[in-house]
Formats: sequence, structure tokens, C-alpha cells
Amino acid sequence: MSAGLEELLAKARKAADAAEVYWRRVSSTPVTFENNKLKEIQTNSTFGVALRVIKNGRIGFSTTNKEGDWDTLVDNAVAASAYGAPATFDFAPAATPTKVDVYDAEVAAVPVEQMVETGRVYVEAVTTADPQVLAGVQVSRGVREVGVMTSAGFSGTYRRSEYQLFVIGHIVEGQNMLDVYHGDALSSLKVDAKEITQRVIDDLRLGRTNVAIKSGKFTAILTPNAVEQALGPFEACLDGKAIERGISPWRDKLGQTLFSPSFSLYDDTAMSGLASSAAFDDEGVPTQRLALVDRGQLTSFYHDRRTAKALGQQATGTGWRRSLESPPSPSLGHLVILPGGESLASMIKNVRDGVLIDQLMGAWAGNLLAGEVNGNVMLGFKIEDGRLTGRIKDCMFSINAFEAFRKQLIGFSKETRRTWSGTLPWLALDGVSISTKS
Amino acid sequence: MKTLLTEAVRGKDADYLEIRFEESHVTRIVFRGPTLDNVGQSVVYGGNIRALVDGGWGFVSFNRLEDLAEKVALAIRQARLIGRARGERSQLAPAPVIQDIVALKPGFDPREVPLDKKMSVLEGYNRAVLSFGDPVKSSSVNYQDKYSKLFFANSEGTYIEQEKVDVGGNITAVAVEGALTQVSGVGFGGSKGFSVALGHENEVLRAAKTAADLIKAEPIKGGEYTVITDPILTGIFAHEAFGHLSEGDNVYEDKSLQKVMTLGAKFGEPILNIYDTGTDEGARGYLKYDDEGVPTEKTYLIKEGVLVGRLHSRETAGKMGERVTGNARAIDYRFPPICRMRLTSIERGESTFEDMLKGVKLGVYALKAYGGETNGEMFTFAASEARMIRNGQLAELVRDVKMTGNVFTTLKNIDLVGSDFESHESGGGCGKGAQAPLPTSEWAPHMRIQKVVIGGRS
Repeated sequence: MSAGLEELLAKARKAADAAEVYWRRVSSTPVTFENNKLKEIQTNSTFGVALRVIKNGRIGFSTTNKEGDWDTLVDNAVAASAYGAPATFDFAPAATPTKVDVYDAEVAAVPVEQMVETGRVYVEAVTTADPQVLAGVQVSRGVREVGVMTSAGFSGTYRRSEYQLFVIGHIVEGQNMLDVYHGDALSSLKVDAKEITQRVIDDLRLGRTNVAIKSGKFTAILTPNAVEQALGPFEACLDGKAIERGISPWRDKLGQTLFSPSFSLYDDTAMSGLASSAAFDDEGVPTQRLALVDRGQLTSFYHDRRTAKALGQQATGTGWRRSLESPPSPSLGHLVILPGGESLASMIKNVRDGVLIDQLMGAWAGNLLAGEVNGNVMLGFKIEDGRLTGRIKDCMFSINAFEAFRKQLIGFSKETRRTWSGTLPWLALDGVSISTKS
Repeated sequence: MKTLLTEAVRGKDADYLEIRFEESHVTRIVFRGPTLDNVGQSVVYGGNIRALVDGGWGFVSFNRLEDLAEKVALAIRQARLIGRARGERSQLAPAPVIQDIVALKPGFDPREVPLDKKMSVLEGYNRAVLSFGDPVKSSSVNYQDKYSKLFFANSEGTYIEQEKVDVGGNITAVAVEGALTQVSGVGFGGSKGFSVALGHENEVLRAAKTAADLIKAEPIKGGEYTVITDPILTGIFAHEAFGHLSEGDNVYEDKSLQKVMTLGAKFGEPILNIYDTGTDEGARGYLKYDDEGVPTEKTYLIKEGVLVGRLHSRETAGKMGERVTGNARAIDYRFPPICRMRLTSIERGESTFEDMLKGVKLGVYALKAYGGETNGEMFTFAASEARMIRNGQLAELVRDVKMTGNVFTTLKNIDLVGSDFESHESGGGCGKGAQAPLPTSEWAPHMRIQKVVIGGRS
């Protein structure tokens, strides 16, 4: 750790009653192929520091990218504290960070030329399978170093390597557009580019045939992507802030069985190998595998230090900063749903008249606190007599997640897949509303 | 700074080279219910270099000006690696060489307003929501102001220093009854300083009342309706449904989409006019020069129902043989500029609200928006407030109204455009790829659309 940051903590302590220094140094090199061609190579290296102080019982917050300009940083935080929120909690005390393996020196050592070659190979794989497709690939490697130091005794740093690969396929035929993307992010080079690319090719193939659908209620199988969207209300309603404000319908439901017994949900940022894992959260609380729902029973909310204290509960290691300029806030890191017993193939085979939903557009913009998940079906398929027959379009998918995970849940698949923010199985639901033109 | 930047881009072995550098000062104030969530001040300090060699881009971002020469060399090396693979000629549409210093008008700098003044205004709104009483149980207030000093130099001799201000906020009332939560909000924003945050007391009270009323409303029944959108929602429609599709980077290398988006193609009725402009001083989408140093303008996208333009960066304009429009924007120094909107509008029409209601047997009057999304062909957006229209009359309040449609069909189904026009602004902004939120504005009139699909559990 740089001596400069120790000096910053000392300065802040002198100017205030307590202080917390968070810093990060991030470097990343994304290589981007767009419309079948190598488009851009970036090298980004940014450094930033966020300071929280407690002075006269109030919190002050400031950030900077100007390394060494500690006087301005401290002055800004102290000035903000004059109007700041009452300090109802303390900064993190000394603790042992969680042991989590998220650094692989091989990642930073990958030559740019090799990333270019990887991109070229998979662009070619997609365009060979269907010459009409415009393919895109992004390969990115990076290293993130993070540190938290508090005047209450916590001091920790971790280093995480990040390797990401995304494959995109895009087709326009008349006014008919199809976009497919799959990807993965790990702390090692174990990303399976071949398998990711095959998924894109398969979806593009199936998506080229449009089939009709009428408004009605259907058995729906949600892919892990769609399950992630269906979990939006859980993220909104389990948030320590929503509980504290009294706007979550689950504010007084801890310990109650609200969902199907086959549903267990965790937030896990302590798993080795993932680009979402860390030794501690952004305010110095060790990470963990946090059970949110256990066999249908609501077991925990997720907190930052402030909401945990306000509700008299334990800090959960889920105080993350959405950007350097935002203070820590309760946030989910990596959602895990326990898989079921049935294979995906057999789940699909059992559907006589139904839909497979993969991507929803605008599902985030609904009333999540009321459980509403509805969106335009950006990518979805019709299932007829146990077979995927083609793409459905121009229709809306609507569920109420509170009811769906209680009464409409048929089961989860035994297979799981890593999505943008979780490791999730496929989910079969009964009686899902699809509305379309009359 | 001028010497440092202009020297760094001069005489290098690249087809094009530019440096952007910024120092921004940000103040954020956030309330969640009665709790003050955050008062914070940030200094954003950093820059980037973009190099173009044989059609390939190298981009390097950094925080320390000291390393400039080394970063320039890296950007060129990266660009050359791509250039070798592409083997193309670099094509940038011509842009004027500019030497300019753009200073803020007096009174626009939010740093001149003391923090306690900002706090008391926002606290006032928050208190107004919280004291509304049952069933309004909570509130949220998000406020941000940003003063930026931007420096830009390119290898063609352009050098610009620009001062810019962006102020935006949202105030939300949250009503709760049992397991049901409903929200309603008010937004404000602009580039004229803190004054845009003042004077929203009545709207805040109305939002609290709406949230309370929505608790008693029934969810809408899914299906196809005639919809009248209020100016806010019309603006979101212009942005989501057509603005994104008009961004040059979606079109320039996509031959099939170019066929659909051919200039001169008919997209709507002659009453339909859509434009995007950077020239309306005061809007959040106002800017004199974009992030490639190109002067902004008012760009018509649709004129009398016909496609007449699109939103370009120098590269997309160059490759399509069209002229620059000043739409290359980046949220900050960490990102390269890409084709983005500024202030997007549907132009005022001739119909009154009464004209629009006339003859609608069963329809929906949809107001305000939670947000929207598009993939080019399809769009969706959520109204935060809606009333049924029955037999030409406004009827009961309904909730959970989310509209969706095919962009091309829906544009043709716009049959009336209002004679009113509202310069609405809000906090937050637009997202594209990893770049969010970008300050944009949407100003518009009322509008009527036939055959809109609204989702809902039947």
C-alpha cells in the first residue's frame, strides 16, 4: 500500500473524529471487434480515492482522481460533514478478510496480440455459421486493486484479475432485427469462448424463424438471463434501505415462508475464481455466502453498515460502491439459486404449448417493489409439443414475482449458467401472461 | 495547458490524434425518506488520447498528465495494430478547425451556490413529500450538479476550452399500503445552473397525491389500446423509439439496416417531425461543441414523415458520406465519444387535447415515465401514471402501464400531434453500452398513437 494513503488517513483523522479511506487502482485492456472487424483497443488505467469522515456526529463524503491532492479531499469531506447525515454507525473495525482466490497472474500477462487473435477466431466462427450475421466480440483483461483503511482499525487490500469475453450476433432482414449475446467474466483465463460462441450461433439459428403467438397464459421456461431479470423485485425488496424506509412489502416478513420450498436464493461474493468476488466489501466487511431465501423462507436482507446498524442486524458484507463517486450502499454481488433435479431438455419436452424467454426489454423499469416484472420479449421462443419452433416477437411478458415464485413455480433445472450477475438455473413457471396485438 | 496538449498531438505518426482532458467538480445530495443518504463532493480529474491509424482506433485513458507522451505513443501503437488488420483508409468526415474558449455565463456556476442553500431547497421538497401523510410513507431525492472544465486538442489544429454545467434532480414520493407500493416523481434539470432546482413545490405535492391515488388504482388489463402520451412520455418515445435508431454507429457498417434507414424513406404521417439539437441553451442536452470538437446543430431526423438525417460522429458521417452533426459524446474522460443524442424533440403539431380524446372508445392517457429501452426495432417504456379513456372522456386511474411496440409500425400509427409543447427536463440521463448517465433532454407536445400494446396480466 502506498504511504500516501496512510498519510491521507492521518490527515483526515486530524481534521475529523473518525475516517475511512477507500481507494482503487483499475487497469483494463478491452479489445473490440465490431461488425466483423477489429475496431478498437483501449488501455484504461484509473486511480481514485473516496474519503468518509465523521465530524461532530455527522458524515462527510468526498472523492478524487487527483492522486496526492489530499488537502482538497479532506477539506471537501469536512465541508460536506457540516450538512451530512447523522453518523448512526461506525467505520469497520479490524477483521480478517475472507480467503478468496481471485488473482491469476496469467491474466495480466496475456499479450494484446493474443486477444486480437481470440477475437478474430470467434468472429469467424459466427460469420461462418451464418454469413449474413454481423458479429462482435469483446475480449478484455484487467487488474483491480482495492484497499480500505479505517480509523476504527480495519486495514485490507486485495487484488483481482478479470478476464471477460462477450460474443454478439446481429442480423437485420428487412425491418426484422435479431440480437444475440453471450459472455462470461472470471478471475482466470478459464472462460469457455468456444461454448459461448456456440450459444450465440444456436440462438441465431433458432431466432431466424418467426412464429406467431396469441395473447394468453402459457407455461414459460425462463433462461438464466431471464431469471436474473425476474429477480429484480427480490433485489428491490430485500435491500436494507427499502426495509429501513418501510417501503418493502417484506419489511416485517423475516422468517416467514413466502415462496415455494424449491426456491433458495443466495448472494455469494466469496466464491473463488469469479470476477465479482472479493475479500471484503467496499467498507471493509468480509464477504460471505449470504442466504436470502432458504427453501422458500425469507432468511436475510442485505445491508451496508448503516442499514444493518439501523435495523439491529449483522452487517452482511454487501456494502458496495456503484461508482467511486457514490458512497457504499446495500448491493448484491453474485446471485445464486440452488438448481433443481430436472434436466433442461426434459423441462422443454414436457411443455405442450409454451414459451422460452431469454431477454426482456425494459423489465427494470417497472414497479419492482410491487413485484412487477414485465417487458417486451426481445428474445424468446415458442415451445410446441416439447420442441422449440421459432422466435416470438412484438409481445409483452408479465409476471408478479411475488406470486410467480410462490404459486406458479414448476421447478428449476439441474443445469446452471453464469449470467452477468449470478449463477442461475432455468426456471419453469405456470400460467404466465403474454400479451400481444389483438 | 494549451501548449502541453497541442504539442502532444502535433507531428505524430497517426492519421488523426486527439486529447481530451477534464477537471470536474461534482456535488451530490441524496435523501432516502427522512434519512440524508449522502452529501458528497467529488473532483473528477483525468484525460484520454484517441489515435486513428488505417481505420483502427487506439484509446488510452489516464489520471496523470505527467505521463502524456508515453500514453500518446501507446494509443498510436494500439491503433497501428488494428490498422494492420483492417488495412483500410481512415475516413473522418471533415470538421472545421476551431480555436475557441467557451466561458460560462455569470450565475450559471453551481459552485457559487453555498451548500446550505442547496440543502435547504432539497430538504424542503423532501419534507413536503413526507408530510403529505398516509399512504405516502417515504420519499427519495437525488440531486447532482457538475461543473466541468474541458480541454480538447486534435492533430488538425483544433483547440477548445469549454466550461460546462449540468444540474439534474428527481424527487419521488412512495406510497405504501400492505404489500402494494406505488411511486410518483418530479424531475428537473438544465445547463443554466442551480436555478433549475427552484420552484417545484406544486409539482412535488402533485406527485405525492398521485402516488397516494395510485394505491387505490387497479392494474391495467393487458391488450391493444389507443394511447395519448403526455409531453414527457412523447419525449421519451422520441428518444427511445427513434433517437437511438438514428445513431450513426448503428447504421454505418450495417448494409441491411442502411436499406431500412435510407434517407428519403417514409416513416410516418406528414404531421410527424423529429429533431435532435445541441443548440438550445439551458437544456441538459445543450453543448456548443461535442467531444470531437465539432460544433453542434439542430439536426432533423424526420421531416413531414420522411427520414432526412441521423446523428453522427466524424467516423460514421465519413463512412456514410454524410456531414457531421456534432453528436459524438462521452460521459467522461474514461470513455471514447460515441454517437449520442442531445435534446431530442417531436415538433409541435396542430391538435388540441380535446381533438385527441374525440372518438376514442377505449384508450389510455399515459403520463410521465419510469424509463424506457429499445433494441432498434422494438421499444418499451413504462408510464408512471395513466388514466383510462372511455367514450372520449378521461376515466379512472390505472397502474402498471407498460407500453411496447415495433418502432416502424408505431411511428406510422401516430395520428395526432399536439399544439402544446413542454420543455421537460429530469435528472439521471441516457445509457448506451457502459456509458451512463449522459445528460440528455426530451421536449415534446402531447401525441396520439393508435394500436399500442400494453402489457399486463390478463
